[in-house]
Amino acid sequence: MEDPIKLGLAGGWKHIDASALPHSQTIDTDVVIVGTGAGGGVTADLLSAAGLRVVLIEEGPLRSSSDFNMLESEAYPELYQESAARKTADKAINILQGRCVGGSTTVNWTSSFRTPPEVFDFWQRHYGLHELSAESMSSWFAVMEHKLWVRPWDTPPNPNNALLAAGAEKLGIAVGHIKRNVKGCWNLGYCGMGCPTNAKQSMLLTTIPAALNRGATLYSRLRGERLRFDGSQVAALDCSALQA
Amino acid sequence: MTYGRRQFIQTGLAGGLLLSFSGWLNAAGPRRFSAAEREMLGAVVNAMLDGVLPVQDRQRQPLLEQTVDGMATAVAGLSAASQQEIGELFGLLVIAPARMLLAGVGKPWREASVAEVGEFLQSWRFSRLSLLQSAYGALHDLSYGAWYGRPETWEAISYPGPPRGYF
Repeated sequence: MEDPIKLGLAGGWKHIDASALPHSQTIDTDVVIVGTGAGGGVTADLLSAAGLRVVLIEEGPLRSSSDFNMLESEAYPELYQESAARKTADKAINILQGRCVGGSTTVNWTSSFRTPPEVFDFWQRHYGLHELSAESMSSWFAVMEHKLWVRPWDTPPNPNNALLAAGAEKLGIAVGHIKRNVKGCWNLGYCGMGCPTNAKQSMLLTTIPAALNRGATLYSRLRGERLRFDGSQVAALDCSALQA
Repeated sequence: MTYGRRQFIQTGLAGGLLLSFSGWLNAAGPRRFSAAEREMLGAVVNAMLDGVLPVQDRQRQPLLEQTVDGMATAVAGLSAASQQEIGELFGLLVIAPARMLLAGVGKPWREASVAEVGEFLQSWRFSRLSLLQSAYGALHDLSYGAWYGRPETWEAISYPGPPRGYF
């Protein structure tokens, strides 16, 4: 199976594994993006397309299809925050948050839905983000859905999910099929350990390669620690390299 | 007594008392479990995984050790903040008065029976205190994660492992 990340690196993508840096360095850029998940990946794509010099900072490692061996014991410590054991403050709910290039989009189960209206309401009420709404974001969602191959998933559900649907229907709860960002999915069921067949259209395979093709620089195993201000302007970002 | 116990927990946590016992993250980076912690965790795993562990002690003991090793690996992968919390929990459980008061286990961990440790785990699992519930959750997840991380355990649950040979 072809590994597009290995091919891109061989073709000259600028990737620096900070865990292998022999000494500190200072670099100059137009834009530094902290985190390479859904937010960071899309931002890198848009800003590199606009002609800006972009540097991406990711505290997790760069891993790709040839590394994804579908073993929980290796994938969880390698690809997730806190070995997939991150929890809410009251420890009631596990938060499966990625920590690798592509962030959670590399390890999620590809459910793709637009931000629900009630979430926009919450953002508007609590954070004053009045320009954000289902309507104003609609065209942006449409662009990303196109880019990430977000389509209805019409494969019949397995018995577990079929039972869930039957129960919900009986209780009068509306049931629908999710959309997924996959292209030629093998339906292996190992999405959470990274896609070994490159079907998942994560940031790792879409926006980040697009930015790297335009000359963006990716630092993995590097954590953004502190913004330095020059008056009201951000002048620098201090980072620390993590161990491999 | 119930009130007294609860008060003890609240006072202990609020006062940061536990930290002084554990000294968990004094050295930089993750440290290995102490002998006392391994003994306590062995007793926890012995009860938590009672149904899947072999009955014969000679086969059972090495599997307990391996599972505790797996727990150490898992803890090392947690954030410094989580490691500190886990360290506080473990540091507390290895102290005899805390073991008796909080866990209700009268004997030292190596002498406590599966039933006694199981009773302690269930009392934390269904405790009205969310702190103890979450502590049970941590012990549960670490035990089961370390157990099922080993491919030898998969046959018993009819899991063939990930598909091979296509890639």
